Parts: sequence; C-alpha cells; structure tokens
Amino acid sequence: MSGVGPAESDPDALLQVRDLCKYFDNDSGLLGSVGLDDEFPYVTRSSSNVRAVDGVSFDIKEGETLGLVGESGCGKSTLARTVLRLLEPTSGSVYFQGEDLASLSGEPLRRMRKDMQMIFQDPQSSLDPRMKVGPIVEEPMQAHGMLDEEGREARAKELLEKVGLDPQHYNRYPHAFSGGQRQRVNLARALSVNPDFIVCDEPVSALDVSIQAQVLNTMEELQEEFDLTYLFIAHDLSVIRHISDRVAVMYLGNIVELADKEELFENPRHPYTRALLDAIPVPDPRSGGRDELLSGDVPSPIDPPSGCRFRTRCPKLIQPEAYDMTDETWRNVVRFQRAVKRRAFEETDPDALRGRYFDDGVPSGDAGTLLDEALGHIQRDEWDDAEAILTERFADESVCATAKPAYEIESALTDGRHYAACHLRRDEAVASAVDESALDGAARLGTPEADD
Amino acid sequence: MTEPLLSVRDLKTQFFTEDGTVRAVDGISFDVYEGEIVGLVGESGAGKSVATSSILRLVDSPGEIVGGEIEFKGETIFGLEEDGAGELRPRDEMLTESEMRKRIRGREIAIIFQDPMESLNPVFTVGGQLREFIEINRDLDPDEAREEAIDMLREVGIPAPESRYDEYPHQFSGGMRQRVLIAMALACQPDLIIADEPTTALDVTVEGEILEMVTDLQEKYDTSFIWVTHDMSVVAEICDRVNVMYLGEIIEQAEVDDLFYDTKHPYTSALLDSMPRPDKTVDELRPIEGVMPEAINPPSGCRFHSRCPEAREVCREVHPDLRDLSDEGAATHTGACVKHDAFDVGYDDSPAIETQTGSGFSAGLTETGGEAE
Repeated sequence: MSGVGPAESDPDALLQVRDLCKYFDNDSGLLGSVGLDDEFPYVTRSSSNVRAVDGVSFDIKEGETLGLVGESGCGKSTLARTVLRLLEPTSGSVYFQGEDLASLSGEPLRRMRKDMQMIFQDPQSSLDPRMKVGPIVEEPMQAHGMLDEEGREARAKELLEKVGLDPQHYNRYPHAFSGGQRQRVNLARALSVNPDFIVCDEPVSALDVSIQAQVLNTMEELQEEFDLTYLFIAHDLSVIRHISDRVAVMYLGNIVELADKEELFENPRHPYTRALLDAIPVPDPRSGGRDELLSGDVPSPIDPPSGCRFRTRCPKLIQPEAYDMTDETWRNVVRFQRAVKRRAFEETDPDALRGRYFDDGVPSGDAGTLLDEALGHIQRDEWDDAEAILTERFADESVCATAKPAYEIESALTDGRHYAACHLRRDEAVASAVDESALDGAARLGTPEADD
Repeated sequence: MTEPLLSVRDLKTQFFTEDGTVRAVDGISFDVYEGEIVGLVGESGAGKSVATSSILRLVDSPGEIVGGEIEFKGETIFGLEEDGAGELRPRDEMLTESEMRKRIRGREIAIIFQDPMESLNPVFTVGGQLREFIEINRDLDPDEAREEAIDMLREVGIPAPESRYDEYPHQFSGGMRQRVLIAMALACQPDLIIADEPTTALDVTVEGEILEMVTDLQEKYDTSFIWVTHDMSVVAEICDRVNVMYLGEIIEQAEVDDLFYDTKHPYTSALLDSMPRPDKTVDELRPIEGVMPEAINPPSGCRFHSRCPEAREVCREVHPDLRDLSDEGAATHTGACVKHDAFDVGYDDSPAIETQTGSGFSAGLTETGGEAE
C-alpha cells in the first residue's frame, strides 16, 4: 500500500518513513503462549501481537518541525523509538539522509546515531544524578570521538550558554537544577554531537506553564541557529500548534491525518482530529461548551478494529450500502449498538428502549426487522445475541469496517499536502490507496478519482 | 449574599525543616459558597495542595498550621486563641481529631487526588473499596452498601457496573479510575469536594468527559467544589470564581470572566500570556522570566517583583495585601498589586527595577548548589 503520501525520493526530505510497523510479542515467558484446551490435542499454542505502530509513512523535510499528537497508548513513543532504531522495526523502512536505517547495524548504525538525538519527557530520570552536568554534556562527544578533552569542555560550556544556562554551572550536579533547567541540560547534551535531527518525546509536558514557554522558545531559537529538524511528540495540542510546521495525528498505531499546521487546526478533515480539537479546554471562559464528546475507550491494539481503527468510536460512521435510513435514524442505530456493547443501560423493555434511543427516527424495512430481533434478545436478557446482531449486521457492514481508508485531499488553506484516512473524504480525494475491490457496492458517496 | 459554606481566614501553614521555616501557605483567605466551583490555581510550589490539606487538617510533621481560622458550616475546623501566658492554643470549639475523622473527612468534605492509582488499593476490588467506604460513612449494612456502590458507579458512567464491581483497579483505565474516585467522593453526598488536579494526568478526550460529568453532577447534587489546578483552560471551563496563588499567597481573586478579561495582577496576565493556545496560532510566547523563588526565603515586598515585567522600586519595599479593586456595583475583584490606585504608595513615581532577564544565569538555581558534594 503506497502511493498516497510522499513520493519515494523527495530531495527535501531528511527523514522518510515508509510503512513502518512495530509489533510487540504479547506472550511472556517460555510457556506464556501455551494454553489448555478440552479437545485433542489438549494443548494449544497461541500468539498475539500488540500492534503498537502499524503501517506508518511520513516525511520530514530538512529544518522543519513535525508535530506528532495522539492520546496515551496510541504508539507515539514507540514510533519515535523505532524511527531512531532504539527499537527494532518489525517491517518497513526508515531512510535518513537517503540511507535505510532499518538495514544498518553495528558500527555504521552507531556512526549514524551521531546525527540523530533524542530528548525524553522526564528531565530528572534522563540525567545521571551522580554525574556533573559538564561530563553529561561531554559524554556523547566522547562516545563519538569528537574533539580532545579540552575541546570538549570548551564546547560543553559554550552549549550550556547557548541553551540558557550559566557556563559556570559546568561542575554542578543535576539535582541543583530545576525541572526546566534540567531539560535545558538535556538539550545541550543532544546538541553536543551536532545532530541534524532531534526527536523530542514530550519534552515540556512535565514542566510548569511559565517554564514550558521558556523551554519552547529556547528550542525554537536553537532550531534556527543550528538548522535542526525536530520530530516533536506531545499530547498537548496547544504546544503542538505553537511549535510545529506540520502535524500528524495518530490513533491506535496509525496516522489518521497529516497536514500543515494551519490546515490541520482550522480545517480538520478526520473525525478523530475534530474530536480531539473539540475536547481541549480553551483558556477563555467565553468560548462556550463543546459539541459532542467521544465516548468509549480506545480499543486494544492486540486486536484492533478492521478497516478504519477509529470506527468503533467515530461519530460519523458511514451507513452500510444495504440500508437506506435517514441520517438521524442511522445515528440512533449506531448509538444504540454502542450502548448495548458497553451494557450502558439496564432497561430491557423494547418500547422504553425505542423511546429512549429512537425517539426521532426508528428504522424501517430490513433494518427495522433486525432491530426488533435485537430488542427481543434484550428483553429475554440475551445480551450477547443482541450485540452480535447489531454489530455484525450494522457496524461491521459499514465501508469503514471493510476497507482501510487512505486519501490525499486538497489543502484548503495552505499549499502543503493533506492526508486524511477517512472514507468520508472519498469523493474529494486527489489520490487514494484503498483496496478498490473492498469498495465495490459500498461507494455510496461516489467513486474517488483514484490514480493509485 | 448568604453565609459561606467554607470560610478560610488568614491561614498560615509552615514546615519546619533543617534549612529553615518554609512558609508554604502564608496568610490566605477565601470563601466557598454553596453550589459553586472555586478554582485555586498556580504553578507547582505555589502552596495549592498544602492549602487544601490544611482545610482537612491533614498537614503532618514537620508541617503545622500556625495561624488562621477555618470555619465550615458554622463549625470551627481550625482556630487559635491566646491563653493566659500569651501562648497560642486551639480554641475549645475546634473540632477534635476524632470528630474530624468521623464526621468531616469523607462525609462532609471529600477529596479527589491527582493520581487515582495511588488512592485506590491495588489488592482490593474497586467495588469492595467503594462499598466499605459507603458502609462506614453512611451506616448501611453491606448489602445496601453494595447496591449503593453499584448505583454510584453507574452514576459516574462506568459501563456494566455489576461486572466491573468485582474487578481490580489495574483493570480500569486511568479515566475510569478517576471516575471511581469521583463516585467515592460523591457517595456520602458531601457538601464540599476538594479536587486536587484530578484531570492533570488524563488525556484531553478523557479530561473533557470528566469535566462534563463533574458539571452535570454538580448541578444534580448541588455540591460545592474547590478545584485545584495549574491549567488556566480548565479554570476557564468549569470554575465560577478563581483564586490565583503565588508563593503561598493569594494574589488575585475574581469571578472567572473578570479574571480573564479584566486581569488585575501582572502574574495572572503573565500566566495567561505564557500559554500556547489550542484555538489560535500564537507567534511568540512570552514566558515569565526565571522560576518561582523558594518559600523558605521569599523576596521582600511583593513576592512576584523579582519576575514581574512591571516591577518598580516600590514593589521591593511594600508588601501588597489583597484589596478590592472592583468597580462600584460589580462583583468583588481583589488583587494584590501596588500599581492600582487603591494602594497609593507612589508606584507611578517609583523608578523601574531590572528584573531577571535572559531566564538563564543563576536564576533559580536552588540555594545549596551542586559544588558542596
């Protein structure tokens, strides 16, 4: 699956990630995957993977900041570590300055590391408490054989000054610094080997607001001075909006939307991005409330939903081709299906449930028959059967469940490219990477102009 | 206005450490009225959490409440008087430790902490812990308490509460655990709930859900809240009135709209300016220079003068108290900054002072330094 997203060889790109996957083995120990069964052969061996990062592609241009945002557990940090090859990728490739990191190993990889550095979230635990700040900053230079001892000390002092610390603090221990200052030490350490690319994993989320602003400003100044490229991970959309040039939104191991910052924040085209933007509290008491909140928890990455991974929580799930309900009626069905799945109510009386979930539209025809059947099961307290009917016949029939979305659409506000993984964008897509056969008969909204 | 539900007057809590006395809370006063959400906002180290623990008298050695009055529904939670020899001693009507434990904590004033995993015992089921709490505090028998516990879990939006009742805390997600704690706090229908950064550790989507739920429940039960947070966005969203704290003192008190649109204290403005915004692109952040000084040895005069962009000589000398700065007829809006006319200490004629600039050099290095090792 390629074609949507950046071209294979973009001369501006410093880093190109192609179809990167990282699965973790969910079994622990030698016998972890062995289970007992009451049928022959009595012993079964199962294995399940946690698909933390599943088919991610993007480019980072030289000198830009790509923001990566998503809820906890969506795979942001795993992606960052896999890109740097601190974790071994399961499949896919990462081209850094034209070379495939995934195929490097040993000494060539180690040398490559000089150009890529990382800054971690917790400034406390990423500094050795028994080392003085000077040697902490010098250590990477020593590891890469840069300069002699005096040169390194001079450079460390210079860097401390660059990140806004007093070079006199060369001989102090990390505990003598505040959180924001420790993060500055981390910055100085990352800069010591003169890298081109820095991955920042939630670098300011442990800091107070006023300190956060100081560190963000310093990071921007350094980027300009040293011509750095950042991959900036955060869960805080305000920080992302401030620092990024382009933003990628991640959900359950996939990138669901990627566009220029202004475009993404002002013209979000994926329902998940909208939901995220709508959920952030705005520091303005007159901003008014929010429209609709996402319900439910993020599904497990061990067995993620088919098709679009967001479909189990999506407020805009597309109606299956087989039915012809009004939008309100379809919303009601979806709402009811999710309520049954979550066992969110105790009522079993069909009429009461109709009144509660379908007051502005009860489905008729086939859909009506199926709903009656499900309501009958609930009345007899057969919840699993009711759930099976509603899920299999409604939710799983949707194009969102049968085909994986991947569309590139026109940016409305900027010149950059806009990638949105949502089937609602089918008819406006300029490129798509969707398996067309899966769309047959389901293309209710018209066929996208596929040039894949 | 009616009598406040909780009234705190000139509360002082200090910690006696080897390095000296830490004046964590230094003379704060505020009221909480029935059915309102009062914000207590400030950076870490401002004394927010010490203030709330003081209200519940949960301050432990080496800390001690050394002065002030806390009244709750006409009862004295804390109050001192002078005895014959000029020594301070607790007043007679002050609630005893056992009254606090049996009647106030949990029943009348409940508290929700930031980290739900630390407030729940990992080796007991969620339902069991909730049931026990209800059983003890509401004198119900175990079966009734169980029913009540399940009802409360449903009330806070936990799906399938009957089956989740028997699960352990680790089987709940972070947001769900925080819901359980809210259920626990609401279970005895207290008049006041203290929420100490309850959504800070949560994702935005979950935070949104919890904030919506709290607003709904607050309307339903008419509970008052003290909402402790460092996040101005959360304040804007749910609080009715706000107290801004800096280094152990409240420096501005106002209704939420006035605080954002008619900000009186430079610290509050600086805090608002230093935040990146989700709803618009800010080209340049204006951070507050330096870091908050230590409460062991606070700056003289106005405590914010060392970081204040509007500081003048007089700020170093005069310690401003909270004064009413509101226009006639408007809601009370107090602030502690001498630049306002209400102070009349010659701010306008005073020369400006150099504040810490460059945010770096030695600014805010902790007292001890690192060389001693």
